[in-house]
Amino acid sequence: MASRANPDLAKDLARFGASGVLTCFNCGNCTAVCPLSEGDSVFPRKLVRYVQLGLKERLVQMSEPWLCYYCGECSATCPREAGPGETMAALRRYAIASADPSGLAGLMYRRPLAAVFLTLLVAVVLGLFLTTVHPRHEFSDWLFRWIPYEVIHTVGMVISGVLGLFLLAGVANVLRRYTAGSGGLGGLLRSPGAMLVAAQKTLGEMATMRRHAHCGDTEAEAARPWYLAPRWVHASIMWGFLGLFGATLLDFLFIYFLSWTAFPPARVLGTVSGLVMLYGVSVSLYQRGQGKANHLKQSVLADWWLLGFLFVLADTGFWLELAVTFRWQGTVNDAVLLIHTVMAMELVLLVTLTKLAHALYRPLALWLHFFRQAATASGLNVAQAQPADA
Amino acid sequence: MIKETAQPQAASEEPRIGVYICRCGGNISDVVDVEAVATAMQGVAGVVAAKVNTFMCSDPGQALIAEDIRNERLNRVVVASCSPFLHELTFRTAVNRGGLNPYLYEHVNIREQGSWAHHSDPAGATSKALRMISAAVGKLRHAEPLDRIRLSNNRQALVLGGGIAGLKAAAELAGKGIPVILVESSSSLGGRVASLNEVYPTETDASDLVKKLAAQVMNHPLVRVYSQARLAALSGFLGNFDITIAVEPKAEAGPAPGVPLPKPAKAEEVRAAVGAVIIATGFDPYAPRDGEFGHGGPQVTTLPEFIRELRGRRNGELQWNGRPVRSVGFLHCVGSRQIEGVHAPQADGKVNDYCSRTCCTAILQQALDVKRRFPQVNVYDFHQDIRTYGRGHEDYYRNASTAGVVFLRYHGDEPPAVGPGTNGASLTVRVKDWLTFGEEVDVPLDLLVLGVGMMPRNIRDLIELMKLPVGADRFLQEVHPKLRPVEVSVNGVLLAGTAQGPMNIEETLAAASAAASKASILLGRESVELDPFVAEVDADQCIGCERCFPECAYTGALVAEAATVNGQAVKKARVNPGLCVGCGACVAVCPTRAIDLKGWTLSQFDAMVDGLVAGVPGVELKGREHARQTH
Ligand SMILES: Cc1cc2nc3c(=O)[nH]c(=O)nc-3n(C[C@H](O)[C@H](O)[C@H](O)COP(=O)(O)OP(=O)(O)OC[C@H]3O[C@@H](n4cnc5c(N)ncnc54)[C@H](O)[C@@H]3O)c2cc1C
Ligand code: SF4
Ligand code: SF4
Ligand code: SF4
Ligand code: SF4
Repeated sequence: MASRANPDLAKDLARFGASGVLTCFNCGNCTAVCPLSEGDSVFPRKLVRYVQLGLKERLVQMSEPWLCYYCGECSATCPREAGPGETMAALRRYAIASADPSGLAGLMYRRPLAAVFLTLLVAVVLGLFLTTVHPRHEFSDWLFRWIPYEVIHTVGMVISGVLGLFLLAGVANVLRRYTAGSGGLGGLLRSPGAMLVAAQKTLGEMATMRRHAHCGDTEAEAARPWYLAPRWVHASIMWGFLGLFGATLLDFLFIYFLSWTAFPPARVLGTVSGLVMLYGVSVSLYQRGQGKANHLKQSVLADWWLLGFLFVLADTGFWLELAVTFRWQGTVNDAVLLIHTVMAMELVLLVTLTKLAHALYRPLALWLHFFRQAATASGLNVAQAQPADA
Repeated sequence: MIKETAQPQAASEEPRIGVYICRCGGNISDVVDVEAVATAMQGVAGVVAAKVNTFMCSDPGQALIAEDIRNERLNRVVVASCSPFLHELTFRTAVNRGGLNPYLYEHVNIREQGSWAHHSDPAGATSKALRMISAAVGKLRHAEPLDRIRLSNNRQALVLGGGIAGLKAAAELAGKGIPVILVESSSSLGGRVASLNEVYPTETDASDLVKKLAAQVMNHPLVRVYSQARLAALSGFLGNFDITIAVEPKAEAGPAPGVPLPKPAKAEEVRAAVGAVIIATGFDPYAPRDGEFGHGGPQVTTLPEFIRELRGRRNGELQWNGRPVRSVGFLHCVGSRQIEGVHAPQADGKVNDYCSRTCCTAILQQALDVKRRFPQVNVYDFHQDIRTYGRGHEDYYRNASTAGVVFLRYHGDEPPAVGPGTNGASLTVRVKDWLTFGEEVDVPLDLLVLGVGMMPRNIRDLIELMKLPVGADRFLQEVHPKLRPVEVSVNGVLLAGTAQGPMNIEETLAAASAAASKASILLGRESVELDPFVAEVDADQCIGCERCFPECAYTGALVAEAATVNGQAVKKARVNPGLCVGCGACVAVCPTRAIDLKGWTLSQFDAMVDGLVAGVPGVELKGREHARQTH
């Protein structure tokens, strides 16, 4: 079936950061140099072309954007300066936006001001909500004179609930679209062997980002010390984040539910993870600020947003740890705790609206990629993506 | 009209023939046993000298001939060597330098037709060489000295067509002091260019260009322009064409584009004599059939129409037939590069399989123009190839691409299909797009511009009148695309511009200049010289049977002259050597052998046949032992 050209898509994607697409003359250099394009997953030219023509139905079913780690080599090679790497990045944002049923993600990408406003709004709602669950404070008493406790509590619960639903719907959407070409979820379930192999490979890839090692064969990249290379910077952010996540969960478990004092191993884990993440986030912020490397030539608000959140979370986390250790008291500490908790909650609740969604979608895409590889290797016929309508 | 020169009398002395056999540095002698051939020829009656040389065309080789003519009192010469294309003229000139009439020379090709063709059969090649040489010797025994035909020259040119090609040719000829008659069928000068706006690759204003050229012609005292006129009759030959121009004023529908010409006062016929004719009748844009790529529908147009329509439109919003245009498509190769079995044939049953060469850049120029003047409009370009071959043309492609024109590529055997539009679009172009991996894509459009190519103009009357050669593409055809690019096989007739095939303005003007300088060379001479190989009628033997007249395809070559034979009034034949091409058709039908071709007489043919059949009686040649056996 023929798919329908739509000139508005390229214009829309420009707002997601893909501005040069129309100048691409389809030479294919980008695909040739891309260290990650392989087998059935050929990019970025194919996706650049779909954007050029506006073949939206095709694009939203493609998981390829997540297979790209944005090394930027394609963009550096492109004779037309069409920005294929930036297009892939924009397509990741577009994927997040188009999977999100609320339309809020799209709004945030298309209008940076809306993103700022929404972030603050959710923060205020969550902040107020927290005053209802935390141990009482003078501020709470003062507040409840103005807004009844019940209202604040209900609004907070409802908003959290709705955002949680959006989160689930987003993940479901992506799952449905990306598997459409392989016969849906049912199609996948029919080859459990391949599913297992793929899962194993995906976990391995997530842990090590081995594919990332293929990026950066350029001289400039090679000259960079390993601890500044994108692969390790990203790894420190990811592992730091996961470590902190784990430490926080343990803290919750021990302090709030079991009412113990701090559990030493969790504290150690938290401290180490926090340091590791802070390192990664700081390097990343610095490198983005410089904007020199191929993969950092273009940063959009969503990039700063996520790094900024992580940076503040890590810093406030340390503060709180010191406060707990040295038994600091006072309003400042309460405020820091509030900020830390609000931001952490916001990060989780907005996961499918922000760049952090990649932590969900990328593994899924990798898993499908490895699944197709394994299925092809074992002779299974995995259908190529077809547009849903025509 | 024709000044016929007296032909020299027959050389009545005994033939003393020199035969020269060339080794061609081994090219010939590795296969043909040239020494044995020379020895055999020495024994033939009338052959005074038979010699072998390594390179006959070299200076010493040529000097050898002249020397022998003097010392051995040779009066006929044969050289057996390479193709006459290469060196026949060389040796005729050498013979002439030695003091002999150049037509007492015969050239035998024993390389292309001998050693090269039969290199695995040396004996056969040697025997064939011997037979061919003896045929030439036989032919020479009957040869007569001939003189080239010299004809007077009318130093005036006729230019047909007042487009840029005709204007340029006329201006250049007049500039060289040669009077010109310019015949234009319409009521204005400038042709198709007059309907264009800015022309690629210079973005010059087309009407400026036309005005400049027209002014050079109209203000020149040596140029006479006939508008609304056509060439009604033409007879004669190089240097001596008699022409009739019919001026036929018509009621004009409206002001024609281009530089207007004064309306002729009345219908009239004008006669004139010219020495050369330049054909600059141009092209027709391809006219798509109804329904071809949606043609005939309100939102489908052709490139020339689009260019004309957009002239003077205000920038900002693009409308077509009252509808706002959000997306416009340009389709390449409409009526060009057609494939038999895929595209419907033209009226004459053929498809236009040629590339029109100008449309690619013209389309990109318009696509870019739309993007610049109406930035909100989405522009799609459907092509097979982008043939922006000329200097500066590729810029249009690059700029169109960076300006956001979206390109889709189809294969010639699967052209795009135009269907009705959906969702508010006027039409949909469905294309199997090879830039999208052969996937089918539907492109919704509000306007489709068909990039029509060039068609040969309908000038059947001129083709018949002048016996003009037409190529497989039905454009007029030159003698040789590289060696004689603006001449046709009719002497004195030259081609300028798109009458010959698709060309852009630069190429058209270059061709027009070439035709003008070729014509000025022809017309610069006092007289015109032609080869002497024409028919001649022996009036005494002609019985006036008139059988030869219908055989001759060249009007005016055979002239009927009143005579009496046995008391009966008959029409005897006489040959006009200016018009005779020496084809020999008349010779074949004459029952009394009254007609002969000079240089190729019937008795010469008899002698050649004898030579070919018998070779040298009693001589059997075996050829080289050491010839390379390559097969
Ligand atoms: C849509 C389009 C856009 C183009 N744009 C460009 C451009 O931007 N740049 C560029 O370089 N080229 C362009 N070209 C090519 C350009 O138009 C031609 O190169 C040019 O017109 C050729 O000139 P011509 O004199 O050979 O023929 P024509 O322009 O066709 O002129 C022929 C003249 O001869 C007359 N005539 C015809 N038959 C007779 C007859 N029997 N007796 C007497 N007179 C006769 C006609 O009335 C006409 O005046 C374009 C072509 C097309 C189709
Ligand atoms: S940014 Fe790197 S990984 Fe991504 S498409 Fe370009 S070359 Fe491939
Ligand atoms: S994005 Fe650049 S490198 Fe890739 S096909 Fe287009 S022009 Fe070529
Ligand atoms: S110039 Fe271009 S559009 Fe015209 S016939 Fe040739 S390839 Fe087709
Ligand atoms: S030789 Fe040919 S052209 Fe000449 S008069 Fe005879 S038939 Fe005509």
